[in-house]
Amino acid sequence: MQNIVVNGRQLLPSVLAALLPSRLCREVEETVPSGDAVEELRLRRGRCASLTVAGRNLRLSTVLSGVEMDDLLLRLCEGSLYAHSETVCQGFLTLKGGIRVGICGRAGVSGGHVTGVSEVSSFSIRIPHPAPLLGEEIVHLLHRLSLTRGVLVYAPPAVGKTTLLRTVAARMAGGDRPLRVAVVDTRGELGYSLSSPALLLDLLSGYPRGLGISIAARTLSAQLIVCDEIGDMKEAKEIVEAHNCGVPLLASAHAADIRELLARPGMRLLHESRCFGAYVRLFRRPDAFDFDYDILDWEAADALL
Amino acid sequence: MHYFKPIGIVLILACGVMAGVAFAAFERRRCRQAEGFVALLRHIRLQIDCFSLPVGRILASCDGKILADCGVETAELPDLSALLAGTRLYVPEEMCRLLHDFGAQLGTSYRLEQLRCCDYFLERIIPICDRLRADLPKRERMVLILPMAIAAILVLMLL
Repeated sequence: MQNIVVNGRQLLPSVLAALLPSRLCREVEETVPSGDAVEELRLRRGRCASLTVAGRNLRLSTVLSGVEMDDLLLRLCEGSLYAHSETVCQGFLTLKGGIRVGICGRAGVSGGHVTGVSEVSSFSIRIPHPAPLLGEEIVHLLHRLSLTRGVLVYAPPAVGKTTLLRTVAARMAGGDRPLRVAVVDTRGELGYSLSSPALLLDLLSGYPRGLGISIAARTLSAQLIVCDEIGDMKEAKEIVEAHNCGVPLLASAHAADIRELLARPGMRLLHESRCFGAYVRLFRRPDAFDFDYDILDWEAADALL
Repeated sequence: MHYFKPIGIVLILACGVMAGVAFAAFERRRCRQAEGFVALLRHIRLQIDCFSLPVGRILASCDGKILADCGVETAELPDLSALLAGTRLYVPEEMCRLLHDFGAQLGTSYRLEQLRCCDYFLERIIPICDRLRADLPKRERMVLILPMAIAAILVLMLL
């Protein structure tokens, strides 16, 4: 199995490097500056591929043809497209190691629902990186809230919300005073690097968010529920129910600022139900894999509305 | 030297009987392999319908008896095409072609389309298997008797 390793760094996970064309892997090796890690790899049908490294987009010269893109989709699906119908129609695949692949192309639609994607035009491959030292502030915040109310982390895409949630889940489920943590891993990304046998962690992999949160609260007696990318009204109602069971939720959402976040009906419902004791805006530090936090408690957020 | 003739007659008759038995066993094996592949395709369809398992895992989870009937030695294979390539096929030419076509397209379509495809190939393969099974007694008798008859004729010619 091919490993792209330069100066002791593994640039691409081996499971991914084995699936990609070798000329692309070679160009990645030649392009990534020393000391940097690949955050994202984008492949486009008939256009140049690109990398995101330390927040910068780097154009590659490799262009994948339509046949190569369709072959790659089949390989990403382990040779069984039907086995990943649902997630592909939702626009993503998750590979081993928590690698999320965003997919778009020509959608087949029936009754307003996507029934298939053909002529894949883009793959957006997000590569996770372990970051065990992050999230101290969020851990303290959860304890400060006495584990009775949750914390919502928000930021635009590709800042590192999922990485942060993963790290905090591991910290809360481990250590000297571990909690029973349930991770609702709808897209298969959160479970990466949470395999340590010392963690008191229950992983609900592939469950729809609302159902997973409900199961975690009612049947798994979780002390903390961790969930990524909450958003719609249905999920919000189920989260409110879980909150009424007394289980705090650590979750993430896409938004650039608190007003935009709380303008959404689902988020507004959660805010009015006081599910979250604090809202944390995440900022990625330039040229470093670390975060700055802008923490707003419930009262301060309410005053802004 | 006078005992060479009886020995020769016995040998010819024995060859005739053994050839007949071998051909009859071949016919039974052919029928069993056809039934095995029908069972395999049904298993694949069921696993896709109920669990949407990838092809490799479907083959790995298949009952050993079904694979043995198909003449497959190992199920540690990535897909059906690899399985067919590594198996000696005794089934009729038409069924061979259908199996290879099915193997080539298995896994390349979304769930509903894949199930329809499984149904399409099963509809075409099952009648071939049914014909083989229905003709088996007649063919067994024929392949058993024919070599023995030829051996008997040879013996009569030698006498």
